[in-house]
Amino acid sequence: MENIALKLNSLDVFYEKIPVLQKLSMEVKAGELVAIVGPNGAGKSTLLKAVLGLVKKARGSITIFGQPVKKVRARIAYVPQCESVDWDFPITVFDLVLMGCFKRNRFRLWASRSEKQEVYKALEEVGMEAFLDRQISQLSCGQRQRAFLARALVQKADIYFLDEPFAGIDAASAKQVLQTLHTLRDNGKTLLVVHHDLESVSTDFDAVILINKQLIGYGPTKEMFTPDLIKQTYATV
Amino acid sequence: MQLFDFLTDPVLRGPTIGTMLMAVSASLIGVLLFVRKRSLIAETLSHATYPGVMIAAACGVEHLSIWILVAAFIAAILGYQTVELLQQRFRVRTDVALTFVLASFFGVGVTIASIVQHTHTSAYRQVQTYLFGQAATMSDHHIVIYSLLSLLVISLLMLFFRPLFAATFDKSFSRVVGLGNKGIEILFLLLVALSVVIGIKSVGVVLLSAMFIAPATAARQYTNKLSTMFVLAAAFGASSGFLGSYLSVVLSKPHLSLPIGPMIAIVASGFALISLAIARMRRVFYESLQRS
Repeated sequence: MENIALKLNSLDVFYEKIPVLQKLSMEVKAGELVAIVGPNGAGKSTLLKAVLGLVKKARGSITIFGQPVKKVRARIAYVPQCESVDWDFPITVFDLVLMGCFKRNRFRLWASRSEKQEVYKALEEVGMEAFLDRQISQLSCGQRQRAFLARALVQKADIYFLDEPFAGIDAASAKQVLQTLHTLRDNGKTLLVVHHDLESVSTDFDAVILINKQLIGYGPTKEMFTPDLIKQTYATV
Repeated sequence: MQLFDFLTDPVLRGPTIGTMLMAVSASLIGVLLFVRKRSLIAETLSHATYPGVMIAAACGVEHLSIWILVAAFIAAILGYQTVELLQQRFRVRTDVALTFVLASFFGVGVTIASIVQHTHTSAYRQVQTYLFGQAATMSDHHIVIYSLLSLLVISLLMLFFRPLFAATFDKSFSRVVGLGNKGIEILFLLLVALSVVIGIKSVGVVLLSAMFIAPATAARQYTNKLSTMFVLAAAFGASSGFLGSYLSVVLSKPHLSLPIGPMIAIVASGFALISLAIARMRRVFYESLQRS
């Protein structure tokens, strides 16, 4: 198994000529639950999107498990931010989670029995089995996040990118999501999570990436979460 | 006249089956447009085909020829590319770009039409029916072409259902897992253009967008599942095609001829209106249940 899950080499990203990320270099260890922390506009989401190829990088290189991202797409799962989806779309929780199988069986029309089993199992894992036939607009924010997480589970990825999965969700959902993330980590998966709640970082996460347009630091939570570094992260650049 | 005669009678079966096939492919693609919130594309592309049809007429192409369809197809693709160009290079808003292309392409078409009217009078007479459609002149020859094209649309849709679904609902997901975003966008355009081209003969450039919008709108009121929505929309489309053809024959009197195209558009819109009303009544009913 690879030791390095994600490697960035002097990554630069611009939005309309304004630098969002500058000279980001780091090697994220595999098998860890990593929080990405920084103030609003620090480029946390942009970092995820650049890694996933959703925004263009200006310079630098990105590898996942030692390979260019294009070659390992089947091993990547992404849980987008809550607002980024059309909630009125005619899609039920089942269909949403089933989407996790699309890469493997892209030309199938109906869900096979084994696909259905996988979907049920993932929904059980996030405690959403009762909402199978719900249209997604009839879910709370926490339930939506859990449904998207279930889709990521079905993908059977090795590295997970989650953009603020805890934003605006109820305590029960947050607990469920965290539990699922820990289970994944215990199974050797790598998880990068954009996170807002500073208090829970040191208790719930193994490592932390502090960014504010540049990399402030990356390392085990205990070492990185010092008042000095946090102050430096949240200082206006 | 029996209902069933419309599918077997040598004179009636051409227009009836032809319009039903047209309606099914338009309704299916209409669902894609509906969930993408881009229903206006159908309106724009159908109008954009008009200069293509007219140029084909100016080149002396017979109105039964498949070259009319090819010219219309090319014009529709050009129209779409212009919309994309305006949006991406010139930063024009989507609604503006779509309306602009609709008006300018159609304007060019009408201008060419007035020239062709004098230079190729007989070709013009045949081709100008594409404006409001003329299903009644469809022959078995048309059924074959339309069946093949509709079959192509339906099978592409079934084959690529999953990638299309993913790219429509969650673009970033489909890009991240690598379900082929560029390819899917090209396929989407191909499907829209194809179904527009299938439609202009029977319903016409001006009314065609009704066949894209109405069945999808009706279908959406009964389901929260995309797959079911496709099936329902196809059913609404096919029934509109059949009923439209039927009513146009049955209601026409010696001194009054009701063309098929507008009848189909009216029937399809009727389905949509009734479905919207049913959905509203259901909402009101459930709300009153919750209150009591």
